[in-house]
Amino acid sequence: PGHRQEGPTPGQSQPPAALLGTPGAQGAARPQGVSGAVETHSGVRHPPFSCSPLASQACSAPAPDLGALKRKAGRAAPRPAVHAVLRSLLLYATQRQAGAGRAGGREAAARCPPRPQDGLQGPTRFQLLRARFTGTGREPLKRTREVGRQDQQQPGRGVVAATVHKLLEKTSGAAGQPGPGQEPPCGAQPGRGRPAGRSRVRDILRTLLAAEKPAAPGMPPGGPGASSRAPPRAAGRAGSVLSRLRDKFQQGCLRSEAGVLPLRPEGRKQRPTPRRALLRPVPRMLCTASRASACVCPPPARLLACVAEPPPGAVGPGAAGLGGVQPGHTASLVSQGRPVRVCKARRLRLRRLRRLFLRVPGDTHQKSVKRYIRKGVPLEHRARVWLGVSGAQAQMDRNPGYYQRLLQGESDGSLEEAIWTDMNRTFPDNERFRRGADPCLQRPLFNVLAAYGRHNRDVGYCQGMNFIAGYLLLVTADEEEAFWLLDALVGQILPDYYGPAMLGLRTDQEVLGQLVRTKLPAVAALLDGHGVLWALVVSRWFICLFVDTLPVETVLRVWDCLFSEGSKIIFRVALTLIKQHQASILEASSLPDICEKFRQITRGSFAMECHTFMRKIFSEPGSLPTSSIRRLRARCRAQLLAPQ
Amino acid sequence: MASATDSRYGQKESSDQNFDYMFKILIIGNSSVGKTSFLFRYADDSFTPAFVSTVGIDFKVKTIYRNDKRIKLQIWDTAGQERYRTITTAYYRGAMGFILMYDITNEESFNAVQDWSTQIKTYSWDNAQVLLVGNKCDMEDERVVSSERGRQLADHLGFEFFEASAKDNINVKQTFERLVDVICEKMSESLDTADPAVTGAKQGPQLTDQQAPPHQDCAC
Repeated sequence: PGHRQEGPTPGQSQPPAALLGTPGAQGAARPQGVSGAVETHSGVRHPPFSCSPLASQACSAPAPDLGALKRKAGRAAPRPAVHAVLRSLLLYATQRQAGAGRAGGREAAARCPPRPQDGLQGPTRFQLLRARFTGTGREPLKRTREVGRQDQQQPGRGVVAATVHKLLEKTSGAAGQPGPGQEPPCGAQPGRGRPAGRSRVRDILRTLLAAEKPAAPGMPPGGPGASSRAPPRAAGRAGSVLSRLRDKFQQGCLRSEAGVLPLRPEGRKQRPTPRRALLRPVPRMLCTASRASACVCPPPARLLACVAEPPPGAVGPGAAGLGGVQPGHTASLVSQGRPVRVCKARRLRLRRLRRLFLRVPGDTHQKSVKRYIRKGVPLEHRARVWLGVSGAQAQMDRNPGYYQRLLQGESDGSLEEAIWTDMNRTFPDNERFRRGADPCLQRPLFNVLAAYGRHNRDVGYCQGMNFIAGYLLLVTADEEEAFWLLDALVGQILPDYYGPAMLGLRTDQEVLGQLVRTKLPAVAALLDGHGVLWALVVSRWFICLFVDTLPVETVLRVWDCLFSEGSKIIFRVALTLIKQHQASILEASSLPDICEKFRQITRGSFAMECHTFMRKIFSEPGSLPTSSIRRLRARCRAQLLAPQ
Repeated sequence: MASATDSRYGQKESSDQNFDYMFKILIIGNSSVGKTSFLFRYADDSFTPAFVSTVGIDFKVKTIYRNDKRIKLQIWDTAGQERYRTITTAYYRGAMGFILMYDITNEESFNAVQDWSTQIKTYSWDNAQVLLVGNKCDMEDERVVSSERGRQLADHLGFEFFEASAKDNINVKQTFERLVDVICEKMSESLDTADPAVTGAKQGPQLTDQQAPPHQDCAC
């Protein structure tokens, strides 16, 4: 804000008549308004442009004969080598002269006006950046842009002037000069002592100031038309030079991508493209892509378009009657058809995911697929991905019509009765599983379970499969797909979990006990001390695969990995939950306490933030080789079978 | 294994709670006869038709005053499906009371009572007390098992018999209180007769604040 005032106010405070007198006598071609601005801005006591004509002549003296050189170059056009040499010589000479001229005074610059192609150096990118980030700060610059939109010029111009001033101070400081406000450098200025480059920058800036000035203070108040440009009468020779300089400077800004000084509205319009490229590097975008689809941002469900826990109070009807038996996470899992917010990054990621699957449809267990799946599969692609990675799709393709035949096959009374018994007890707080709902998922659920019972007669129906099949139906929305996914789970991924003896399940509970004993001995000691069997605290985790234990979104993320990596994931999740809450569990001093702790650890923010949760399950439990799991399973199975 | 660990937790737990006795009670019976509802009606005095099927095993704790004693009840709710017996029978050991439940509207659940009774005899302590409960007695229209048949079966098996309704809160409290009474009677009877197999562990100095059942030495 200070800088904004710094520009225009001194100019306005000066009586214009007094200003016009002195410089007008010195520089004949100098437009009065411009010179006035210079005086005002650099301080009346030491106008930097008021060097004597003598000095300006001295400045232009060493300049070579540019006209002759140009003519020579033109003649040498047929001979490329000579032409190139002469051109570069010409360029050098022009640059040098331009530099000297600008260092010496405006007359020289006017005599040899710089052309766009002759390499006039704008302020360096570094200087611009510094102007942007130091001193004047970002605030006024931002405001320039904002204000500039409403009001064409005035406030923005002030800030520009202020920024240029700042730059001027810096350059002069760097060149070992006294600040423009302290001592009139008039006499010393023509000297050759300072480096040409720096002085040139300074002078460009000054010229710029001079060009900008009349628009600010010399302008009649409330004249927006006049504010856009210097007065027409000033557009003489020097005026054109100034405008060219200004253009040059603007181009320099654009080129440098710093985008600091929005001098003209047109300039602003040109800017967005390079700026966007600068602000959004590609690698970042990829990173965002993966994170976006893995729903790292709270609320997690929004980006992923998956269902998440409803906010308290927003639970669907029926959940109120739950009576606190189970955490009714599934109450909200009815989101098919909900509008999906698709961001660009996510679309990008999806495309890559799809490409991955298209490229190698058979070998889906490659590393990159695993990596992608660990980051989370979007809900609308879950069915496809699960079918693909679990081999269910292959089974389905190999057995067309099999599911329909199963449905029409002979019925088994006791099997169906057992399934019917659970129909009203599967996600009773989810409206789509309620009797009379439209569409009601009870019939599809029954079909899938009955078909599976007929397909796998050894297993038939086991309580717990109803919850799994229910989730599969919600995700796939297709009976046959749900059936084959259930087959992949029950038949391959979790062998013997649901058989009559439930041996696989009991084995894995014991294996978890062994793993905890190795990795978290304190917890194992606590449970042993209170005689808690692992089956008591974790059986639901294993049987229902965390359904209604963990929040919906987390369960689905766990299942992503379960389908792609197998049952080891269950141990990872269980170990992570226990390890993460070890301190809390160890506070328990009785069996009910322990059970309550194990209930608590599946709730709360840790389980809710599925992205962090999924990262943790692969880091927290540490190494968990399949071979050691296999060994442990063999040992535990032998132990379980031994007493019988 | 389970026996040893169960008895350990019992003793340890009793040491940090303020009660005179702790009884472990199991509710068993076929799937969907209303075990969970029965437990919730008793422990929380609540009922909802929207219970999910019980998977595995769960329990609730309730402390009651009975015969001037603070008695802590640890009531275990089990999954009814037959294949879950491999998991739930591990918890039969150390249980002093059983509520064997059937559904009066479901013949099959009644027919399974005999089988459940065998399970109790096989896996639990000999002195465990059993009550036979016919649940859902509010659904008189759909009744398929008459009260008489229930009573006869209970007499045959040597159990006491109740008909109850968790939904209408009929006989729920009475069932549990009667079971507690029966256990207390059996306990004092055991003390009086000084059966060494039963009282051996109870003769210790901390009898009053010690869990009653000496199931370390029981015949399981």
